[in-house]
Amino acid sequence: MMFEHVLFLSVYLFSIGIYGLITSRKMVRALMCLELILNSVNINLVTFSDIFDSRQLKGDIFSIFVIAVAAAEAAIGLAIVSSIHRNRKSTRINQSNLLNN
Amino acid sequence: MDLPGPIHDILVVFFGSVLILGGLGVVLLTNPIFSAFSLGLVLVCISLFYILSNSYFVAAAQLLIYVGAINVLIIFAVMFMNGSEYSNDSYFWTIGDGVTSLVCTSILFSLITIIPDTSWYGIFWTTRSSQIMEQDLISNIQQIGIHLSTDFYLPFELISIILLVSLIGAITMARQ
Repeated sequence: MMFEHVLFLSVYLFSIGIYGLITSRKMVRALMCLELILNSVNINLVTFSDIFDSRQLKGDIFSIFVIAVAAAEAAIGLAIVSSIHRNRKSTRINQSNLLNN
Repeated sequence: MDLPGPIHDILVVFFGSVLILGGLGVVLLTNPIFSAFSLGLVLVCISLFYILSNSYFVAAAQLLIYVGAINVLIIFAVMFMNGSEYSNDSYFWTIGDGVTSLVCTSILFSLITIIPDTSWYGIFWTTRSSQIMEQDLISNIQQIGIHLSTDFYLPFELISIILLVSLIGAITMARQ
């Protein structure tokens, strides 16, 4: 099986996640693109764990840790976004300068 | 999953095309609720890829945590913050977007040219020859459980503490 194709998909998800993370104007969309990047890392971990390490499966365990950290990151990020939205009535990235003043 | 070759390739092509379109939809759709549902589609396709590469537990965890928790959380956040600011969101193409798309496509094509040049099968044979050929009596999920409770016990406890702290922090920030 050509597992390079799965690596191509992972690279595609990573680059489009970087693009969306840089160019997005809303915080929620930036968080979504961050999830895409973490998922591309997970695809790589699971694929290499299946190909190279099918006895030990340590890549699967690392991907589970990445999933748990992503869950924590999404909870914290959305709480911060809702708090900013309550204070500023806006979630645009270039207007969230609460720490300036 | 040990499917015969053509069915496996057809499934990979189908899920890959759905994943490519969904990834474009996450970034390029202007309405954020459509973008969130497109993200859910991408996550479901990724979990089906995990099933194709024999990692059933990670596929189930992906479905439960990403699609069931994170994506629902994102959709609720979009719904709560769907004020008047999203309606007048005229998405105009600035020069920064052009530069960023140029950089990202250059990253994409450089990595795509790097990946076939690497001799993966050399690494594959060296790791295969050095592995102990033990009996395959226990399944993958039992293997993951044994590793989580022996080798990775300290990271497992640390990740549980991180989840608890982030949960408390999120509640504290959101209620105020």
